[in-house]
Amino acid sequence: MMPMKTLEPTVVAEPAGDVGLGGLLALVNGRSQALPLTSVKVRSAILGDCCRTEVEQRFRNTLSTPMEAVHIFPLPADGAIVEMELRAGEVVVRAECREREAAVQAYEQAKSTGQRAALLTQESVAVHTLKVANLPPGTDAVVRFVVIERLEIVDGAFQYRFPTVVAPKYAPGTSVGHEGLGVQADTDRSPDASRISPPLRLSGGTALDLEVQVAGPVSSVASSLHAVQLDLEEGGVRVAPSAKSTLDRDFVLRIRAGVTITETRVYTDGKRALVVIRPPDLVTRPLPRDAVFVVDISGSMAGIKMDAAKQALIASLHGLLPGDRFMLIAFDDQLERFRADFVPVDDAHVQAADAWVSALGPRGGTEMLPAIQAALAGTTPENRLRTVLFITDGQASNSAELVAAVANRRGKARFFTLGIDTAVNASLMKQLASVGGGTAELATPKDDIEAVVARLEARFGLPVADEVSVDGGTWASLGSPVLFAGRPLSLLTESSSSGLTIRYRTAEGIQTVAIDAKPASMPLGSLWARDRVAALEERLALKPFEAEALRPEILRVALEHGIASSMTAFVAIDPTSVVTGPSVTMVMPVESPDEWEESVTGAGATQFWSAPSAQAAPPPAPAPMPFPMSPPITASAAPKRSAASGARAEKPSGLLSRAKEFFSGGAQPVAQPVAAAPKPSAPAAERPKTASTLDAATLARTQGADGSYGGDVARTVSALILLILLGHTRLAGDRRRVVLKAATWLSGRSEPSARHALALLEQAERGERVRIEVNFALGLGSSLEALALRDRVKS
Amino acid sequence: MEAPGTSLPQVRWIYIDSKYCNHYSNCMNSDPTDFDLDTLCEQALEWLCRLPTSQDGRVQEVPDPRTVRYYQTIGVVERPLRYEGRSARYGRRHLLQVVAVKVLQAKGFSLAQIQAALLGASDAALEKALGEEAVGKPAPAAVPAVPKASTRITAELAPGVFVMVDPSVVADPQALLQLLGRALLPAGGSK
Repeated sequence: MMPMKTLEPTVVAEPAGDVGLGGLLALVNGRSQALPLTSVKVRSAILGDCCRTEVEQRFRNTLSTPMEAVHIFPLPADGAIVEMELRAGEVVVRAECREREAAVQAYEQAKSTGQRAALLTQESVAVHTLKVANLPPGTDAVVRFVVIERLEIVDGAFQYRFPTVVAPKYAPGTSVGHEGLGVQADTDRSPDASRISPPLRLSGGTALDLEVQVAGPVSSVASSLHAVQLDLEEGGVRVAPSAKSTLDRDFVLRIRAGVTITETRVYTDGKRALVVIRPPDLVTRPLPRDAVFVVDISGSMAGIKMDAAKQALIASLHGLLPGDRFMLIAFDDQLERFRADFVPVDDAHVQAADAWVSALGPRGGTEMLPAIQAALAGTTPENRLRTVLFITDGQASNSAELVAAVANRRGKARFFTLGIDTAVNASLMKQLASVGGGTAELATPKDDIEAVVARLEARFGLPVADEVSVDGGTWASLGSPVLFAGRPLSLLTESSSSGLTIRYRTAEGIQTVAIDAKPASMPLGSLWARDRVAALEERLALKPFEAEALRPEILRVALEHGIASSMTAFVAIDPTSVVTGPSVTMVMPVESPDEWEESVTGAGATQFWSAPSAQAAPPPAPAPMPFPMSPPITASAAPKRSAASGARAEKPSGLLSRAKEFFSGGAQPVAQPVAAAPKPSAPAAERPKTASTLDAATLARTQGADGSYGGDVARTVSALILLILLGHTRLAGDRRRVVLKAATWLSGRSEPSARHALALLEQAERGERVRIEVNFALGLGSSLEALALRDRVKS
Repeated sequence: MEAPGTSLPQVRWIYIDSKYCNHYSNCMNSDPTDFDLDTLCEQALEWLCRLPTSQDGRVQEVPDPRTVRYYQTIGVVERPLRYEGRSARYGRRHLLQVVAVKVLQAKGFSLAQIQAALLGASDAALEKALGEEAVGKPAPAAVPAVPKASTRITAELAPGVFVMVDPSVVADPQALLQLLGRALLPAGGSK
């Protein structure tokens, strides 16, 4: 069914008081600012490879009765909550970490006797609920807690991501109950849906006061969703949004350290060690791939997310190598395929695929399971590698069954995820990649998507090393991790020794690295416990029959280290405050994420969030509407879609996104050099795109499927040298795959210029300075690539 | 028995002419504290009919299940009391919430204003606000049988084309409206 937008009644308000509804009008007029969560303060300190974040959520009761305030909110997917306190006026109560059931009981007990209390429970890997009971009328309470996490390093930059809003999620399945305080029913396939679905806020936002301190020298900081202000200070830099911010999107930073810290390193606190392992630099020609690209075209992707996803898909296609084969799948609550089976990588197929992708448009619910099944279906020949790239915002509630599907079906395939959103479901992206033997890349729709994909291409195949182990120990995360190019591994182990020996297996055999440990900047116990608990919880999800052994172990580790988990919770009770009278529970509504289209979150859009079968007692299918109540909507341009069902591809008005531009300030992912005087970031300038300045992105796009440029040696040589001059080789830069393809094609040619270009490439890869004669460049003809090269060499 | 409004699922906008809107005999038959979504919508419609606000025939949107689900999404209608198998069960508080939203919408308030007003409103506050004489006590079960539902329904069949039907006279107003709608289709329905 097409969405029918509920129209606002076109009635002018009557003079109040005429019809005995004065009370209701008073309720509206007096309660416009009554939402209980008034502000959120976030202070992060990044030191070494770790980050410690203090969060303060302030609640206010503006009702005339006692209140229980409830807030369903996200935290970083790799974070662990390690302490909490409840503050009201002068009173500060430190929370206890207890077994979840006991904590809930203690809270309910306090609630029923009128005592002020706070309860923090974990609802899924990254979604938490905070409840504050018996808040007297007209008073404030502040709940402060601390989260610690390791920061991932992706292609040389630390990734800091603080989520602020739980995005609406699609909950497939049949309603079976409603345990939680959220707005969606639990279903047979999304048993947690009611606990992770806060109400949607229709206007206004809660103020976010956020600051990140980075210790040590920093060379650049890039923020793709917020305009930021940088302040240099003693021994580091302080980063904060430069404009007013609310809880409507992730705060994302990519931080490059001033001193290159790429080597393998070990930190210890005397009991445990944090090991950051650098992937070895290796050029390995991967197995020919059977590459499956899956793209989410559900309604939640509408707007710039869809554009970014399509851009990512097309860029990925162009990264394929001759000899690879590919398959394209697009999904909402139905599957679309480019071709029924794998097709070879050649210009005809790639061009047809480009056109197919361009025609895709956003439609219905985020039904990921059939897409995962289709991506992993069938068998892969022994001499080929199946790789899957799953491009989505991840906004679905049935994560357990999705993770299980990847784990159980992947065989030898490598499953990669690319999450694109302003409030991406990072935990699902990471879980799928973790069980899928691949990596998770998180991007925002405002990132330079082609660069994101270009970096991803360096990993889109086999890991450079596997069986990563530590002598005399096990990893907190259990299992045997693998290393991908550009993605250092950060692992925890129990060890009191001052040095560790790491082993891993590469194509060249077993390699051993011995490292002396440095002192850790913070205690590592809770990080270790967080990893272990996450590993046990993942195992429990995949092997529920082991619950008897796993549950006590999760509880033991979480309680011993005092961290929140599926089985533990923080509770604080203030016996000094007692209220009487009936209490009202208010579940805090949360903003629609930035850039989400109103057609998705607005009235009448409920079909995006639950399967038709999830509705209680669905009414009989209505007869076709005899007349349209809204203007006819043009059919989707999506392929193989009937006009009737494709009607959801209506281009939404985007009013919501336009209204929010005020806050985003048109922020673009611009790396800001820190050395410059502190100043608010300016909106990015347009990237120059003139005929004579071919950039790497254009070279990636125009490269043929066989790696050449038009099958022409002179053009390909020019392009390759240009790439080298732009800092791209097979080992470094964002365009390793493009360079590899061009070099591979040229290595099959006997022309002197081809051999010369390859020699230059090897020179550059050895770190030597590359010299290019102008005469040589002039000898390459007058193609666009050759002209660009000549311009470059001249300057 | 069905209330007239629910037999018109595809007509989004109706005018309820409440001069003809009296107590329905059928609304007294179900338990006022435990009903499914469809019944919740019916009860809300009947309640709206009884309210003095409807006296001058103002625009009301029929509370249909999909609309109520959206109200749940924004939190102004709370989670169901419980589930019976797959069917969600609702009670008096939900009824108060649906009616309050509808009345405020008819008063010209936006859903955003209504959300700010109704989140966390207690039953007592809602009852008081809705006007005790109309709402405070459920209509007595033994209301003398008023002639069956006499709401007049006005439907907009095509932009600017309105038809008024008296369901106590026309046996199947839905079928009639559909028929009329089809007849109008070439004129109002296509571009």
